[in-house]
Amino acid sequence: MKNQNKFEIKHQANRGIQCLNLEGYLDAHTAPKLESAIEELMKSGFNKILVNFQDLDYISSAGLGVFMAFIEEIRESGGDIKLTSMKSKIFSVFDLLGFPILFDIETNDESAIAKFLKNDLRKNEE
Amino acid sequence: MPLQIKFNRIYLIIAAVLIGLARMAGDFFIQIFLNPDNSIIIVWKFVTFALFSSSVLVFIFSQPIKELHQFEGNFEDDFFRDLVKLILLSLGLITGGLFIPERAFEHEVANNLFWLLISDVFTMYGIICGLIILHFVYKWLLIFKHKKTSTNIRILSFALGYFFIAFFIRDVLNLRENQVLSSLNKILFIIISVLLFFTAKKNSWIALLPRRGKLRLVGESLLGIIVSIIIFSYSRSDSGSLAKIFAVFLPGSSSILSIPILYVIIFYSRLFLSALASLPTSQIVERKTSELSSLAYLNRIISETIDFENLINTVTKLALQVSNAAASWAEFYDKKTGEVTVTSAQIISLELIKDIHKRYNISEFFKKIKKSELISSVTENKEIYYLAEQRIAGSLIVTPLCSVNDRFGTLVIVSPEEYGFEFDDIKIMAAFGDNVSVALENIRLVSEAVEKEHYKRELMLAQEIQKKLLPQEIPPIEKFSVSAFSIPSEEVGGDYYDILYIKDGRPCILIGDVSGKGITAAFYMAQLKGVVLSVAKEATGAADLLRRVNSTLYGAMEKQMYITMSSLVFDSADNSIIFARAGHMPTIIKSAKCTKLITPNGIGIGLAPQKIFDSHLDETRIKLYHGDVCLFFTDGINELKNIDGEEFGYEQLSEICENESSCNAKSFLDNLQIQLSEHVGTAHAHDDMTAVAIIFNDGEILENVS
Repeated sequence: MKNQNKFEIKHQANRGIQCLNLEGYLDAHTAPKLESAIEELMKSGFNKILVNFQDLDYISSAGLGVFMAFIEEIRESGGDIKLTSMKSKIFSVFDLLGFPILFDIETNDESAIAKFLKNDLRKNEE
Repeated sequence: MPLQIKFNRIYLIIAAVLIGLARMAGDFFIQIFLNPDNSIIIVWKFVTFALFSSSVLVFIFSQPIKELHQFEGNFEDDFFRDLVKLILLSLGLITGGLFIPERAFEHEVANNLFWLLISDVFTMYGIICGLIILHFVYKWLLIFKHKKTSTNIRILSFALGYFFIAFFIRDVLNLRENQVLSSLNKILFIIISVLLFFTAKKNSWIALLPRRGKLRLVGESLLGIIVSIIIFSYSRSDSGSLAKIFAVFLPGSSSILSIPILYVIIFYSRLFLSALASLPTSQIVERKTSELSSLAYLNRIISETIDFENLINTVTKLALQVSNAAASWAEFYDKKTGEVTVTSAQIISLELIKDIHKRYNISEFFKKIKKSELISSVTENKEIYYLAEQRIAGSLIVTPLCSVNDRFGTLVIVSPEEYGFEFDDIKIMAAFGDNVSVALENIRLVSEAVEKEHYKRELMLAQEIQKKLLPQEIPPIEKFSVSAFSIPSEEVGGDYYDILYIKDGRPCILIGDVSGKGITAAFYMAQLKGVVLSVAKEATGAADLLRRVNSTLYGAMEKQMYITMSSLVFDSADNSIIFARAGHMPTIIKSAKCTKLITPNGIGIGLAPQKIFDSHLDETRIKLYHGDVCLFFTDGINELKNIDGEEFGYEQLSEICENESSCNAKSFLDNLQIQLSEHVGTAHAHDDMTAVAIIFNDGEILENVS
């Protein structure tokens, strides 16, 4: 309970893909932090975003909503938000909601990055 | 009885006048017919003197002394009136003493009838003066009394009596040359003077007099001292001219004037010294008094007013009163927009100040000042020199107004002259600033509290309305016992449940949870209710209902909002339920064989367009037997945390379902609620909690239920 409001985002770029590593509690209080982080990336013209959930302990409905807010716009611009490395408990929250149908949820960063790159390659071929 | 006193006092005057006339007639007779050595003369003189003096004494002292206190009312006016009266009386005495030549008397006998009668009248006047002076001393000693006053007055009265008798005896018996007696008298004189000097010491009131009052006191007491010393020297029992006139009237009688005069000299001296000593500090005292009363007034205003404008106006006005300022104003800064509001300008035009703010960034300069600060020369200050150019200020004091951690305004007082303020002005303005800051903070807190109260009332109203959006009671459903509860974590929430009838008339139970919580969630919940009601009549089944809800709401909600829902249609004819889930929590089904979580496929409402949503939505039919339990809930229940952060969890929920044996959904949920509140303990529920319980009860083994 004490760590409830503790939420950190670590940002790094990996082969042109923006990786956000989430840490702690993502709820109604901390969601705006993630929202502005993604917004900033989009403003800077990035549309390939990878969100790593490895160190996230909790996600609430408001936290889930953040991804919904951006996914449409990002996909329209040809990019994607891929979610990776979820703990089983976090995954079950996504799963219950039907997120696996709507989002690309990968087991690790590597596979997500590979998918991004593969997609790019295909586009270039076209 | 005032009437009684008045009556008696008129008699006293008449008696005094008659005695005086009788005395003069008697003296006339004696002068012509009797030998000056006749001993009857002294008896006559004594008797008439005693009668006259005592009637005047009683008359004067029967005047009621007003209950005056040195710290209240305008007793100073009364005092000055008495003082002037005394000085005028004394001047009369001096004139008389000068006017009546000493040679008119020889050996205490008048040379002729004219001087005899003149001296009679004059002596009687002298007696009256002496007694009035005595009364004056007595009255003001009482008014300025301290704990030893009454003892001292007794001693003084005794002294008066002693000297009168002593001088009378001395003069009558011709003991003027007696060394012992005159030494004794001198010693007593000194003792009494010292005693009186200390008796008249309570003069703290003088310090509080305005400067004009003090000057007047210095002048009048000095005049009084001079006049009284002259009279005293005239009336000294052995040599003065007044003494000789008195001696003709009655040997030794001059004490009745000289002793009070001695008192009054000492009294005046004391006043004179105190007034003179307090003169240099009078401006400071006046200023401090004014500061003190302004601060007291300010504090009273603060405690009485919660009106911001009113308070600021009072403050800028008071600031002018207590300082050397010529003009003042206050300005406030909006925390969010940074906008400056200039207000309550005194003497100076508000428009002019606003104009300055428009043209120059003066507020930024003020904001840099953290505590009351004096800028003695505006001209020399590079940042605000324009104030001097515009002839607004030569010097100014800037007093910040701040709450605990927020600078919200500035109080400014200006003087047209350079170096127009004193150091004291900063101190008083700092005190003002502190007081006003506290007061304004209070006003802000009060209005915030009022606003909060207002919102609270609105929220309570919203809560009432939201309660009405949930079913007031659940209609009976054949073969099913159904019950539900919903507890928002805040006043309102986003949880929803409902019971309605679909197209073919079968009853349908819904449970829903809008993402987020509080007001936003509550609005969506209300919208959801409307949508559900409108689509239910057309819905053909549990899944179809959810599809219809999604197709209406998808795209109509904010992107980050979504709703999870489960729906359940009762099929009493088939002893079964049909169940569909749109992103919602699993449902717990307890049967005789096992207890399990059922999670058919389905995406949350508002997350996916119709096509994707529809293609991923499954529907499950579940056959039920007597005692089977079906529990719907929102995540607020399974995620309910206790003080250690442990969630209530699916397992505990399943366990409660397993232990169910009453076949009564209501008592089952009551039990669940008890377990939930036991779990949460002193912790706080962070999410809305809603549960719907359905227990199949077809009466087949009813006898097992107790």
